[in-house]
Amino acid sequence: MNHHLFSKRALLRVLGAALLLGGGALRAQDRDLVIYAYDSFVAEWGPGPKVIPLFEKEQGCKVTLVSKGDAGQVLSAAVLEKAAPKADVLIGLDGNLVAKAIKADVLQSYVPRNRALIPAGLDFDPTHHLTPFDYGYFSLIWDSQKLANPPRTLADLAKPEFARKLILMDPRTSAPGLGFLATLVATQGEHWPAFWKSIKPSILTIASGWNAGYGMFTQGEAPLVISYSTSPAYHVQNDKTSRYKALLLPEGQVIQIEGAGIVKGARHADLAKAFIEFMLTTKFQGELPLTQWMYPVNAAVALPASYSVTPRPAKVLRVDPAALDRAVAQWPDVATR
Amino acid sequence: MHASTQGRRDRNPFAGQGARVVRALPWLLVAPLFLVPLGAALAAGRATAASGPGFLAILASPSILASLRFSLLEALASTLLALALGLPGAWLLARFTFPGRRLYAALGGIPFVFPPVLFTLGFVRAWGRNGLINAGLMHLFGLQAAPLDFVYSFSGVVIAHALLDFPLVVGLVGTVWSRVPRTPEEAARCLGAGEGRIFATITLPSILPGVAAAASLVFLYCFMSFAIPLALGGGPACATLEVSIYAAVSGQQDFARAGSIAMIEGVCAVGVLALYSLLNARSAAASSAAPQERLPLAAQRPGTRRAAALWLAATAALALSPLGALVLSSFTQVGRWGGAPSWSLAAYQKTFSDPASLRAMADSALLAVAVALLAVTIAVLLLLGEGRDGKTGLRGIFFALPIALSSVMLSLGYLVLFPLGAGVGALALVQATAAYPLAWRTLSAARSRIPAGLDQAATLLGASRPRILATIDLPLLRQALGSSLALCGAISLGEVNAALMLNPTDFPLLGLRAYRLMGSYQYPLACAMGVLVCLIAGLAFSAADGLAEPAS
Repeated sequence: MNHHLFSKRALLRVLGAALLLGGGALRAQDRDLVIYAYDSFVAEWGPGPKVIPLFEKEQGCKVTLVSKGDAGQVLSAAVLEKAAPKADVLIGLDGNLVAKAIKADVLQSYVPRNRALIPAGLDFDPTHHLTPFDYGYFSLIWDSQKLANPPRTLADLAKPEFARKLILMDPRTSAPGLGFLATLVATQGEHWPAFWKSIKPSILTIASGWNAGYGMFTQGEAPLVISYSTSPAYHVQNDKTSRYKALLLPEGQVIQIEGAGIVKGARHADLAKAFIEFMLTTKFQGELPLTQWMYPVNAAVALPASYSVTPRPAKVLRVDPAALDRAVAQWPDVATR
Repeated sequence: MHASTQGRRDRNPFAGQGARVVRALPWLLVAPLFLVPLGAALAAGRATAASGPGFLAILASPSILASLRFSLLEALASTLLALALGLPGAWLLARFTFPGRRLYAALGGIPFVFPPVLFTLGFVRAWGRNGLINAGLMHLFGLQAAPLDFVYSFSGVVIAHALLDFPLVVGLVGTVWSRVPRTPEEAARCLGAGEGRIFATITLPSILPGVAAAASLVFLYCFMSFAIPLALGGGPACATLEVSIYAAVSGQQDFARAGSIAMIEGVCAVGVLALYSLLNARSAAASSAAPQERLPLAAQRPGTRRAAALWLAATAALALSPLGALVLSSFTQVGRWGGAPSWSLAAYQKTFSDPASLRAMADSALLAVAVALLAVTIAVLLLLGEGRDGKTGLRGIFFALPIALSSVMLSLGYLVLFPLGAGVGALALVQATAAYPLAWRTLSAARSRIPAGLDQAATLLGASRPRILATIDLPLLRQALGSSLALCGAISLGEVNAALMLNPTDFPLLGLRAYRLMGSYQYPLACAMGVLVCLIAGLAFSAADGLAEPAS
């Protein structure tokens, strides 16, 4: 008969429970996959809550999905823990971050076994450090209820009729903001500062992020905003309105391809590889259109009817990352003059 | 009693061994709360520093200098405007009683509870070119173009900051002003001095330290603002240093650069903080124990009554305009956002029927309570270790550092320290760290007003130290404790940065939820969330004020 108040077993159970209740780090067990992603992927309205349980069930493992803020912060997090990586997979690095990620040497190369699902032209990393999983086109969106004659080319933006009618975002703090700058760099080359000067009167404001900028646009502050070409599809699908339309320029649209990669030195490399391959399957890709509002790379996925409101761009622009980096460094001075 | 022991007792309520422990605890428990994340962030810069421009080169670069210049200018302009809007209200709050006085005082919580991105949207919704006020004016006067077009400019930034922060001035200066002894003024009046002379020579000098302390706090908040200047300023010319730090971390993964810019920002912020600490102590020293008697506004001359009523209504409307716009927006149908308003409770129906958002409300309230208790406990701990005279010196500046530290840098620190996120306990500690300096200042100021004679009398009558604390000090601090709790709870409710970084995925929070809703096109729902946050905070403030002196 045990006369002690707490038997050794109970004490051990209590200790074990206390350890489990402790910080998040202690919860990661050996069958756990750790993924860093940007916030909208992890959010309740993003694809995370839908696709992660599917993978967990398939593999019989547990996945810890961690939001790091935006894609740049995902890369920052990986760089910071380079010596002893905790993450296995990074989700959300786009074409602009590929070079930085490779240079920082935080990813390992992996060719997924089902890579045939990726159309040629979307494989944005020939070294296979990043596997693409979705893509979108940056495009100006205009409000057809406020604007009778939208601009037809980039140069039209400089016309006096569009004075203070354009909302942009800071390319240093926002992906669409960077996308607009990329459009200028791709079409104007090194002469983009002169072009920026010509459209300056048309800019109403430069918001810190898409949240604020797009919010002001839908509030009617200005009839033009830089966003994704799929934004009108959202409004058709959920708001039952087709007043917001995408502006496809003859010069072309800049493509944003987002990818995922396996962290160099990942502790669960096999699970990570399985996850990369899972990301290309229709089970994962099928959730993307209505949560990410981006095009899935897997062409077998049927797009919702609302996506047909914006046609695919005739011309796709790509920009040299080094040139874009130079432009971003120059931009504060250009935009202030 | 011996003169020297009497003096020592006055300086520290707990003499001896206990005092040493109490004085040491903050250094062991509180300092690490903000030093560790800061150290982690700076260490990250040191570790990853490749070849790059040195600290001085960064300081001298034109864009950083421009950001510094802009940050200082807009903070100064915003502070002056906030003072102009806040001081008359502070005087009314201090001197008179009137119906709705408590509500007007409760406005002081707004600056803390509003996530900046939501505030920006609300401000634009109210004052923007397509905003409610312009729409109203255009309808009223049959105008074609929007008459008020100041939002996207330097003026827009300044006005937005002032509208956000002037209630703070009203609250802080109102409290100070209400405790300025009335007798010198009345004596001067008896001797025949005019009102203007009385104000200039007697009133102003006694409230000046308090006013300058409030001004320093507003300056600090505006100086370190991120979203508002960028969204309204119209371009990178209106980017504060915080933006540059963020760009360095997220855009360039250049932590060394981020650290250097943060140090530049930090030096300025600490300077302002030092000024604030100094002035706060001076103002506390100049005030009396209890608030002076307040006169009913209804008994004043009709002219004064009308002017006061007009001023109060106008400034309250200004302070509430962004929130009011959000309230109106939350009643628009989910989907017709931006178009002709079609009234609908859809956003609220969705909010209250969605178990996740109900959980977010409950969890946010719980977290707010935890943060409030934690922060006030830390504040009391700091209070116990210091003297009664309100003088703080370097220790005061050091422990107030959390409000002068760049939130982007702290986020970077959390990124380093908690790679897999952290539990809600860590989040509560982090939020409490941001909140405790304000609670500490409030309590410290309140305690310095307790006359030392009370404690001495009780000691003479034989009461022990703990009994004095429990029966004399704490009840007198009751109001300050209540308002500190409400303040810290409000700060927790509106906090998004740490919640984002520490990401307790199984603990949904209102502020974070609103931010994420905005990121997925769902603006009316985001507004509903924001309105709920402000409502909960407003209730807490009213309740806290209810703990105030009975005759108010």
